[in-house]
Amino acid sequence: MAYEHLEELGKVVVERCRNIDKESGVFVSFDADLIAEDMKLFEEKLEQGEELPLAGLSFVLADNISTAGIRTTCGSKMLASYQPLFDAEAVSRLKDNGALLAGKTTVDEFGFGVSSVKSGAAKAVSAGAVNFALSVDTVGELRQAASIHGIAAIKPTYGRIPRKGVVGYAASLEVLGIMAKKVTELAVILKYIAGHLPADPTSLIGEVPDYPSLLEEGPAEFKIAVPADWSEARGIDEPTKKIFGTQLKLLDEYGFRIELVPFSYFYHSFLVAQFISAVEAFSDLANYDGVRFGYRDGAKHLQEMFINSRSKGMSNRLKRFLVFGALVSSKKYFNRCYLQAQKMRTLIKEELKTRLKKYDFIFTPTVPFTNAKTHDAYHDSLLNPASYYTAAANLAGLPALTIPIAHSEVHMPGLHFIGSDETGLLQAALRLEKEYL
Amino acid sequence: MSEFETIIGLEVHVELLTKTKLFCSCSTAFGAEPNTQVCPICLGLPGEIIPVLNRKALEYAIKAALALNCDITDVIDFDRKNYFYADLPKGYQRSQFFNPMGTNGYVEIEVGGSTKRIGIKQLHLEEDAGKLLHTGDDIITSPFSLVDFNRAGVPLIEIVTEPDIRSAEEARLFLQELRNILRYIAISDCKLEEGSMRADANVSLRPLGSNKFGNKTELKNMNSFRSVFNGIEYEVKRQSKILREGGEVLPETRHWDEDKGVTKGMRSKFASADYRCFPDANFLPYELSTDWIEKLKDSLPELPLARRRRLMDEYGLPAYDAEVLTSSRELADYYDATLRFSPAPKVVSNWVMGEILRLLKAAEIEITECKITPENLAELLRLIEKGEISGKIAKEVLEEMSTTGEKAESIVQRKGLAQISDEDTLRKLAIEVIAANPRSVEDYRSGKKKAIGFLVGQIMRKTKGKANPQLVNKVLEEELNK
Amino acid sequence: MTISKEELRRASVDARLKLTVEEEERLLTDVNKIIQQAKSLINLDLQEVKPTFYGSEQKNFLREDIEGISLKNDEALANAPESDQFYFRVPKIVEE
Repeated sequence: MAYEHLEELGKVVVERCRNIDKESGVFVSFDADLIAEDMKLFEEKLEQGEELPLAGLSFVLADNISTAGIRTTCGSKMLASYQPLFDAEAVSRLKDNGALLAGKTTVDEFGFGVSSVKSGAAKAVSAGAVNFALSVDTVGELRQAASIHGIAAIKPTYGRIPRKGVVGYAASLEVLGIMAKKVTELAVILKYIAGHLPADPTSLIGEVPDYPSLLEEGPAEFKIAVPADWSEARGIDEPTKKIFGTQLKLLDEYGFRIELVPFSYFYHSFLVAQFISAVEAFSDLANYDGVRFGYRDGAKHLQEMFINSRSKGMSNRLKRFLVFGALVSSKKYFNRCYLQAQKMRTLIKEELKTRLKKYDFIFTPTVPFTNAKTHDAYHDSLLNPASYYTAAANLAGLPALTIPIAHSEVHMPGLHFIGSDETGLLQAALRLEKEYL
Repeated sequence: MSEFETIIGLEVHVELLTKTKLFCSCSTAFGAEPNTQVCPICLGLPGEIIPVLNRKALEYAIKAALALNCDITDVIDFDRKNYFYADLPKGYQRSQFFNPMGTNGYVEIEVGGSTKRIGIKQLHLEEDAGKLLHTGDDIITSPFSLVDFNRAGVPLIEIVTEPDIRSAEEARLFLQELRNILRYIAISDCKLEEGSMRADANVSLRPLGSNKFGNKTELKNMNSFRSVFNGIEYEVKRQSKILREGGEVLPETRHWDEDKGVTKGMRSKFASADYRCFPDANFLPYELSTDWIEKLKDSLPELPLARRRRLMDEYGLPAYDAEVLTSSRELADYYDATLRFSPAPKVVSNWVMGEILRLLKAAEIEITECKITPENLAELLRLIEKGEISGKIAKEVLEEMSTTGEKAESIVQRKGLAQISDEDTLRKLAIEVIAANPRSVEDYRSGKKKAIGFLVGQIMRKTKGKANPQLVNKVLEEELNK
Repeated sequence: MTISKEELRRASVDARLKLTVEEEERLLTDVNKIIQQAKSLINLDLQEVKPTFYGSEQKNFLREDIEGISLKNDEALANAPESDQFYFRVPKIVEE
């Protein structure tokens, strides 16, 4: 580590965080005293000979990840003063290994969708205030935020990181992911927070690979499948087409053998994910009823209290999404919409897996538009195509990674890889990072 | 006679006897302070969403499904039944909607001397809700309510019958048999009064001879066998009055009011008709192995009906005896155990149903706590059989045995209760008694033969009941007729 | 296939959410646009395809029936909007 004294480092982190917060409003919770206390504690532990492999690294958490005794608002009025009793499992693992939690950052309500404004975690990492951030990826939010803010992010395999303490909105899709500037940092952090937790059977069993030590390995050439119709994505803009088209040619020089491959189902993925995530959200967010925690509004009777509390505690955007979910899972549309989507999910998953037997990765832009403004313009609409390329990985539970095209004058789309495992993705990303930077 | 046929289907919820809840490790113990047996999972707190299934609860549900002759599912998954209520922490209840634990089973009951089969449509595992307390007099006048989530997440099985039940009496018999079966396999204590067994009834009528179902009402809030019977009786009368007057039965949920003896409609404009059940992605499926199912099947005890039949066939007991003796598995075990030491099934039956049950009731204990071992009971009966003690003395000895656990023989010896069968001793007493009661003697000799009873009583008094009654009679008659 | 305003209203009641008139209009338009976009998906014959409800293919987890640590009453009630001694408190149940 570059810093001898963690307390000194703590002060630097505080300074940087304050700057970025002043500049573009990143934090929901930030406590300089807490940072100083934590650093002191880490120092003491190190002095007592305890091993803290992540000491010296600092991070922020999107505010839909639980922190004991620290407000976890999920970006919603519903939870404006909610204080969890426990840390999320991933947060405990980071703290136990000496990583410093700098603060909780802005997030779109319950992590649904992503706007450039509220992607506080990506902003903090992009500005260099902290080394990395944890955020939730349900249909691609983590990767999209990273792409908008020009950093790297990994959405691991479903269940690679325990979800305990993660306040999600679509149980079968959401995973905790990591954002950082450097691929190496993604690898290091993943190593420490991945791994089965008995209290969370959806977390993956089996040994966690030592990702950092495997980074330099891998084949000399990677075989890449690019969906043949990638440029016909809904909402795709001209700069994205141009830049990504150029990247396809460039990549060949770096040992990425690219083939345009026809896909039959991939193109349904963002609508399929929209149906499924909306239905799951309708149910996953039904515990926000004003009884045990969260916002409560006055009412004459119980059912009215539910309606008033939920209607005033949630934004219009979220409400429309939840009603959409209730609608497409209602008796009349259950089979035609919801069940049909879950069946298409099977085909999408099989298609991806079949391709990944023959190719190392599936390669696309991360977002169909280069401009953060376009992204934000779509944000309020249910017809948002931002997840066009990202949602498939969530539907299939496969890992995916985005890395920025650096040294560019305009906003650039991130490069997006879907793979079979995290190790391969990190190896490929590292190779690209070396070539690009 | 009624011109209508009554169609009843029951939905019975039974709380399983596990130590912990269905999906989290909170205690299920009864009687704790409110909201102290809760955790983030059963409270549905943000981000605390992932259930881990209790092996014991699953085992109990499988056993129940097997005991009710169901086909067993090969995959366990849970679906979310989505609705909003104050006692429902997550906004959905986890239940087995698409793949119930068991389907296509049956329970046999004895109605009017013949056996009737009530179909079990399905049996599924689900989580209980919390408990609402209403301040004020009742739910209607209460200005607000209080919620205790200790019960939220406690494992339940729901048993849904086919609409095979035709009367309130059959409903009661079915519930009793069901309770008996579930207690035999020791998966629930099935106490209606405490809510560990709850029955809702779907009741409808149709003209005799029709095969179409009429509109049904769902009866709730029946907290005893009696209220199940009374509630259904009332509802049948109410519906037949409506139908006779040419009206239509409103399909609705009705609550049984035990005090007033009526059912009342409970309507809410928010009552959902659409639960949008879909699989809970947070619970990953569990595949049942046939091995485990076979093992559980082998572990099932002999069930009440089979046991009743065996007692009748093997020991020639009357149906009544068989029913009383099999009313609990423990009592039936006690009976069977006693028969290992005694050759007289009917005598044992009489004593178990009579004296033993009376003693248990008086002491307010269960048969398992009874100090009279089956072996000791058999020995006592043998003493009577051999004429060593009288039946009356035996009752005294049994009472003593029930408090001390001593053997009959040692009580008889210690207290000198052995029967006096020595003819000379008894004759001497007879002569004394005849001398002391001239009026009875005169009555007897003048033809009132019954007067001998008084003299026998006198001898019994002098011997503290130990005299051999047959012998006393004999010597008295001889002396009187001299 | 077109979704009606009545269906949308029923769904919002079931989700215990009240939308303003404008929001309702907007959602109705959006929903029907999405249905339109998804037409090729909705019309596909997928009768033979099994749905995928889960994020992973992992399965077969149980826990033993052993008591763990529950929350203390004050912890359970810590975030409650309204509580009353040991209880959570809610408005009256009956709707008049």
